[in-house]
Amino acid sequence: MTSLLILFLGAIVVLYYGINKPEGKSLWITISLLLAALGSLIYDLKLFIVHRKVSGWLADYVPENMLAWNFNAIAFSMVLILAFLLVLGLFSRNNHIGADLLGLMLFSVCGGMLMTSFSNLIMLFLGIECLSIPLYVLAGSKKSDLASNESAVKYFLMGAFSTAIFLMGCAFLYGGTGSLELESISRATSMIAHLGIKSNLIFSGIILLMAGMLFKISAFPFHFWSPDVYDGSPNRTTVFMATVVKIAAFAAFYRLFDTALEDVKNWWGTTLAVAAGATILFGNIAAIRQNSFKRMLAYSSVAHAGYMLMAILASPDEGLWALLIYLIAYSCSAVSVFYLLDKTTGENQQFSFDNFNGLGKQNKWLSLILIVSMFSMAGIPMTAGFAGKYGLFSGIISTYPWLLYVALLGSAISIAYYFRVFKHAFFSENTDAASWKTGAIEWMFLAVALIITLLVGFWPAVINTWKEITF
Amino acid sequence: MELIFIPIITAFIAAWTGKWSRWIALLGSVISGVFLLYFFMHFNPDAGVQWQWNKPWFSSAIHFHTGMDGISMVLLILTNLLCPLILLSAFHKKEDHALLFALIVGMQGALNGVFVAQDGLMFYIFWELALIPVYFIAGLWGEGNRFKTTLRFFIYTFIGSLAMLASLIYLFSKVPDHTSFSYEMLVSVPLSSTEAFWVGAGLLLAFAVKIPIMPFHGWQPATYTEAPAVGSMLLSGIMLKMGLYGLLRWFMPLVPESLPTFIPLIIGAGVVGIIYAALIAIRQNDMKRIVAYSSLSHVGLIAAGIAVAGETGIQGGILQMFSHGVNAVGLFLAIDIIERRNNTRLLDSLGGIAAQSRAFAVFFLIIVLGATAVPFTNGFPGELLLLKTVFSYHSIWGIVAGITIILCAVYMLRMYQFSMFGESKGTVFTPLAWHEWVSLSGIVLLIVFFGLFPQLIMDISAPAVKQLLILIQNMRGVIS
Repeated sequence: MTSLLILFLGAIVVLYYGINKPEGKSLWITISLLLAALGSLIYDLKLFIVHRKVSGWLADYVPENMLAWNFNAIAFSMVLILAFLLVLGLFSRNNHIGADLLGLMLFSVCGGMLMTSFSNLIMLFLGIECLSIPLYVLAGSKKSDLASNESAVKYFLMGAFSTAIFLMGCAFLYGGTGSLELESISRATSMIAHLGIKSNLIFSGIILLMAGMLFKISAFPFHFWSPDVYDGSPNRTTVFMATVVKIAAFAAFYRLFDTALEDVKNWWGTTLAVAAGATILFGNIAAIRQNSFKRMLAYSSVAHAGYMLMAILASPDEGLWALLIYLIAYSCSAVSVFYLLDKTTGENQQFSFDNFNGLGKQNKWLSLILIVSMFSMAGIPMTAGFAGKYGLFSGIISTYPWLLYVALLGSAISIAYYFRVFKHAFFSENTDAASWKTGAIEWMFLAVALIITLLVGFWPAVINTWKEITF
Repeated sequence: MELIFIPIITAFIAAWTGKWSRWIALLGSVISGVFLLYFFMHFNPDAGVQWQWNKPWFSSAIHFHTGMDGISMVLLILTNLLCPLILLSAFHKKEDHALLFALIVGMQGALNGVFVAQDGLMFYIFWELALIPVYFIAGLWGEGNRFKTTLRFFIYTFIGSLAMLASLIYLFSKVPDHTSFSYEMLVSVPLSSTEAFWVGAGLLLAFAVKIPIMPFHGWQPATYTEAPAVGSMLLSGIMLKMGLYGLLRWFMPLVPESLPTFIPLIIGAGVVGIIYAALIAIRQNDMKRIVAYSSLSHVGLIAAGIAVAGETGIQGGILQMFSHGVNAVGLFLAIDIIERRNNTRLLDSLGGIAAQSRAFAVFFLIIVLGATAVPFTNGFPGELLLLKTVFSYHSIWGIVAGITIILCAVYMLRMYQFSMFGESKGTVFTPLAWHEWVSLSGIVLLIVFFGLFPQLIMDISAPAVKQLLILIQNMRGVIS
């Protein structure tokens, strides 16, 4: 709770303070705010481990039936802030990021934290709106660029539409269970499942909620917006959407479906499994044919959403860990790869694979980062991506074995496009020398991402040791 | 444990050291070999899995569990003998090849990891890890359409590996309470016949692609041909053995229930592959391609012999794995030496080398004879045992497989004759350099020595093979 307040008040401060000040200063304020929020989350985690409950001078004022800071809320919030830190560290120094954009991003992250910690559907709705509205602005933040404007409008229209569907789902669920609180919903649905009654109201509510959430994570039938929006937005916003937004959306998805609606899993499980399978196949197959590196990453992020849906289908305990590891892995590698893409992009805004020509010869360390990130995305062992995929696969195998085979097929297909960049980076001569100079701050953040990827990949027990402490 | 980490750490150091890279890589590779020698001196073939090192890794269920028995020991010896020789064979590449040496020695670590793994997931991880160095070796220093070839190679093997991963995870999900991913636990999982079929199919796909057995060999000839010499040596000398080792150590004990279904398929595909590959090899002009197809032909026989699941066949298979590794590396080495001097390896533009370098002619002849399985070379005893096994399984298959000896002599001697004898085509064959002497004579010594004393290898693996067969029989007994 403290962390949420720090960020929310901090966002206002950044806006007022920074509006006439040089760019650098508000960036440092933002980063220190995030570090403070991270620190307070670590303190919360400690409290939770000792007392099984986060209490304290602020937490006591928030009713438990609105926001509940249990373990998964704290963990997802930490991952969220970590990803945001990486995005800020790598994408702001040379990109002229002003206080207005920083403020918007901070508000968006506050929305994300509401989504990780809600215990009431109203709070979830507030979180989604608070997350999305700044994003619509951020997507169009390159005012003079037509593609950026297009993506903002597209995102806004689709987002508003999906929110309406989501609200409809909330209403149906309220009609069926008589409450908007997760705990009461959980009690009501488990009773219904126990008695073996089929409630159409609840069922359609769940399906509508699922549709709204699937839109947010850009999963199969609702993914059409994502390649265009990702492609058109400025790189900074794209990577923000690909990491921070996805983490928040999956945290909410997990919390809603795996805690409140767990007992009626047989109502929605198969639907979600089909959506996951279709997302994996579609994302991977569409990504093969892309000539733009950025669009390829957009489709691959659709595919990753499909993999992560498998975590929702697994048992809540297994799913949580697999999802956490996968989100960390995906964020670290996506941020690094987008950073490399951003380096190569010249004035003409070309995002093609050719940008990477000759990287291998010119900069060894950046090529190492490219290799490790791509391996992690493809799920090659010894990188965090494999640890995440392994968790997902082993969570799913006893319930939906066919989905596992679909996911494996998808992984195999993904090699074709992830490795395509190696052809340009290592197997072709460079045509025009892109500037690969990287500042010290960027190196620091790249190194953090690299170390996390390798450490979690080599020794996932780093994260798993918490499991023994917390459960 | 040491065998895995010494080469891998060496690889990381060597990658950043520029011109000292080759010496550092060689040093690391040899140190790993010395450790193996120490293990070997204190090795007791009858004592099962030894030198165990077992620590929790991914979780409390998945351990970093290494250990070696007789079968692993033979393959470890092969790996740690050949990797220094392969490094030496590339010693003429001085500048700009730091990464190459690092990748070779890193590969050694990953291969050692495959052969000592006693935990399912660890086996999978090292299995995948071994793929990466060779992908970069073939991609960065290959020739022709190298990107496409290496990508095809990677996708083929990756699909196989993922199928194996699915099977391993499925077996793990059947272990009571998900307590352990260890080899013993996975072996003791009872399966229904449908489950065994699918799990077995997944494992077999991974191994069949790697070996490669007939219909899954699409990646092989092009990759062998277009990879640089060291890449071909690593691939055919050692990586193929990963597939055969997997077949023997993981596939057969893990899903003995499905063996009656799969054994005829493996033997059929293996024997058909022998003839098919040998016939293609006879018509090739490119020396590397000849060796690629001959390799396909030889491993077909090994796979068929192992699949019969009798003691003779498995022993012959292990012996032949060792010999084939040595011979294939020798052949690619000799071809590389010829190619460096003549700038070609096409038979119709070569000739007359024997007159110019007598020493090389002798070395090459011994390697060719070893590959043809002439008595008193290392190829002979293994091939004899394998053919005997296939014959006793079914006489027709045995006779068909036996033709391979004739065909092998045809293409090998044709290759030797066209390249070494006849008129010289104008290029001067410069004398062998010191590192070429060392690596060639090392290989020739191995060929002759194990041709005379094959029993040394068979003694190492015999008790382990017996245990393995007992394991398979027991599991079958439990089911039926």
